[in-house]
Amino acid sequence: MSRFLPLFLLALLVGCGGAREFAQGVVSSGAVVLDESDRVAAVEYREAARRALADSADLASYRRAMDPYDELLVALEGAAASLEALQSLLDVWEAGGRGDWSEAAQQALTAFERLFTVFRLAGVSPPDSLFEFLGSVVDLPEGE
Amino acid sequence: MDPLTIAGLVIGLAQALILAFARLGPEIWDKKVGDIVPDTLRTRLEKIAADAAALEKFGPEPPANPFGEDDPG
Repeated sequence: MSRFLPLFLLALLVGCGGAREFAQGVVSSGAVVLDESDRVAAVEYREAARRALADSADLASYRRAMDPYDELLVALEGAAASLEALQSLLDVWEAGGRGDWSEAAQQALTAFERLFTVFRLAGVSPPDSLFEFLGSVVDLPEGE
Repeated sequence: MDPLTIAGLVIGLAQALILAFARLGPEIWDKKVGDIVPDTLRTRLEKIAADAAALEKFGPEPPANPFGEDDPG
């Protein structure tokens, strides 16, 4: 994607709306990516559970088979919680207050990186949007 | 953070915005996290259903031994 288009959009945003609208857009972008990741993970979870249920001899082995997918769920919920924290800060900002953005933003970034890693560990391809979203702000492993 | 890193980050975030804009359209400015992400994730609902099916097939989990695994009870 051309790097000029985002710059143009950014200039447009700052000119038309301001920093808070830009921040809301970024947080909402994260929410869209999370929602898409959840849709992908839900389908994979259902399929994995069907296989594990058929192949496992007891509950313990079923749980072991589902461990990577349960980790995926934990990572998804962690990312959701980090976005909610950012949304709360935005709401405070809208009301005229201020909050600790740097820590909340770092936690959200860490949560999304964790989500990406756990997708890989579970052997599930992360959705393109997660790759693009993360790849735009951090260095992802080669070959993705 | 040096200015180049900050510039890269802003460009990256703008790219993320384009992604969301493509999905939600102009509503992206009005939507909050709670409007986009459901309270209970779909994957959580799948786990609830899958756990119920597993318990039905294998029976309930044995209660944990409060004295440790080595204690015969």
